[in-house]
Amino acid sequence: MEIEIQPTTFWRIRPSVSVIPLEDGVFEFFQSSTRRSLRLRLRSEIAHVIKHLDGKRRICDLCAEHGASATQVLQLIGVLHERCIIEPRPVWKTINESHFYRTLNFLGDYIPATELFAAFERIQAAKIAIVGCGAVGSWVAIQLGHLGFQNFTVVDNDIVEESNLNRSVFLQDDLGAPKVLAIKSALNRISPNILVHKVQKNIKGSGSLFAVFFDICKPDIVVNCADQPSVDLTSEWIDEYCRKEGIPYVIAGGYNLHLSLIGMTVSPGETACFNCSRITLNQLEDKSLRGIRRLWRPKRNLGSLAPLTGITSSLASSEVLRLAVKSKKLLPAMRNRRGEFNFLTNEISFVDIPPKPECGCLIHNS
Amino acid sequence: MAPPLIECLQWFDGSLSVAEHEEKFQSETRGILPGKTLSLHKCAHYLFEKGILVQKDWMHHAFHPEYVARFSRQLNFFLDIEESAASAATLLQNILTRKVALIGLGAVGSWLLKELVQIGFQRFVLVDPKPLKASDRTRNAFFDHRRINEPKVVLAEQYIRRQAIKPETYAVQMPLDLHTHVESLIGRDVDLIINTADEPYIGATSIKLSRYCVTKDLPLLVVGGFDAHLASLSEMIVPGETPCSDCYALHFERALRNWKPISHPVVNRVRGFGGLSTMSVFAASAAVLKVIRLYSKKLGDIEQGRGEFLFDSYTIDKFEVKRNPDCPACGNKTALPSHGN
Repeated sequence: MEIEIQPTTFWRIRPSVSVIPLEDGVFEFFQSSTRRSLRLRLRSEIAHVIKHLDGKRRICDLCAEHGASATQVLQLIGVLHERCIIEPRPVWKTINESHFYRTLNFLGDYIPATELFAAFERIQAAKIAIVGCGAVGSWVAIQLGHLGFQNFTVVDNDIVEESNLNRSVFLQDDLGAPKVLAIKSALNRISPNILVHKVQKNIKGSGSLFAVFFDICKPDIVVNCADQPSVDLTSEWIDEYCRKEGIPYVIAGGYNLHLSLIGMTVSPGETACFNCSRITLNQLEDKSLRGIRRLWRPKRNLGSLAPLTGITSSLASSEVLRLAVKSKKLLPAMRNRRGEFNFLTNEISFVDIPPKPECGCLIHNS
Repeated sequence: MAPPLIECLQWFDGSLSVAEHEEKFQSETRGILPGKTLSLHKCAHYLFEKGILVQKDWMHHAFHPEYVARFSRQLNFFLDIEESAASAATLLQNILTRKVALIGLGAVGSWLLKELVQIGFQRFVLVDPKPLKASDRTRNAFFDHRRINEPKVVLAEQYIRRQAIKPETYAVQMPLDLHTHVESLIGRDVDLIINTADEPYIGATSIKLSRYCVTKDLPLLVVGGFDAHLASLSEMIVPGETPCSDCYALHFERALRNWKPISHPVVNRVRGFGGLSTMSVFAASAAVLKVIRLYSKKLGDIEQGRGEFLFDSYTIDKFEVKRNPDCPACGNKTALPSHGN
């Protein structure tokens, strides 16, 4: 949206931003949705103009009323717009009329008003592939649907069983149906305009991914929620596919010993990849665990819990949003690190995963 | 533990009895370990006491098959935290039988209800005054574009009736405001109240409910979910043990006395706030974990304070808040027996 910062334009402090006068003419602009702050020292007459930015009066009229220099105020308007503190009339009117006003207002803490709608269009246009539609995958799909994503490819070969209902979004009515079909139904309850490509297949290697996406369409972002045969293997396959195709991907936890894993986000050629993480994690491995051998237990029925699925999937979905926005102002938070939510203490701990020269992924992709 | 005993642990897959394992062990180690007497039976008993070994059909002894089919993996999780099959079963039994009054079915309340039903809660009183709107697409867990304008309580109640194994629901389509008679609204037999109602203001509705809960010795969970608290970790209020809503209000009134925003120039800010469904899900999930802790024997330590998940860095800001001994609402309250029992 083209907006000019002119004396005759109408601007307002964004409703979610609080303005707090501190000492010595310093004002704090507090973005309440994201709890971020900007502090500026303002001259008294300019502060008066800013405090009255209600969007109903032109900048030039406010300047005249408070005896402020229009040139200086317009410079400040430019800064406050860039820092997502204020918005011009055409933007808030469009936000107001949108069903997505909550998503737009939230993104507005990061993306300046004039770039906001283009960013949201990128979200709506992004083609998302979710590989594995169990507990985490089903939650990721519907959260993305609520956020405004419109184009999905969902890959899973399983059907919905009674034991899935304690942690996935499937309904009793879905029992016996393919999970991909149940997810399509859930997404289309949110909107009939959401496009869902169903792939009822097992992925058995990166080759399967090439075949699947060749038949449908190349995704813009891949989310790995598949834990069969293991998250390590599926991540390896997805890493191989995505690095060749230059597609960013998110590894979405959570499985047996890592029920609330916050997986890493990988942008091929820019960040550490899955293989880098393996190198780092091997180096970090507790020495006391070296040489440990697992007892063979073929019939394990591992634990699971809905709220841990919710936490893992919410963070993975946020990462997809950050990738889809494609803005340096809102980069993925899980690049070059992975985390774990501790359900006993409600704390999150992170491990840094730097790009590893011995992996060669950055050199190869650049 | 002697290495030969460790090797045998992988035999415990439920196919043989402990006595049969002992016999097999003795026969396989005869002559190999001269002068040593190892007892696999004793080892198994020790591990059973620690909750590491369980009886093969322990879930079926505690629950009907339909519950086992639905909750076996959750029971395994509970077994890890409760450390005995009996305690794990008690935790699920608590969840299945406790009655929850949920006030507010919006951005956080709807996701919270979904997760509570998933983990087994099935007895509810639901309170919300509003119908589903088109803009709820971005935030409500029960959003269905074909059902816009239907009351949210109706959608939520239908979800429970379809999903829960033995549902018991009572839905009220009206607001909780400062004049509401709480007991008339939710009845006398609820075990836990959860407040997610942010209108007219969550601070006000929580103080009202908190004072009610203090007089009735009921736990109250204040959840989410508005403005600067999009992904709050929620506050569990247990009368006599934790701060109550009055304690919290007084604490933050003092802590923020020098932090006074100016009157916002935009008067009508109704559609001016943001939020993401992902943050609602985070807040709801953190709250459900607190409910599980409330009814757990092992995790029964009640946190005191407030926490906020920060979207910017995925970190958590925590503020410790203590009970106020001079609190007019709960100052003279003493602790009650654990809610997990």
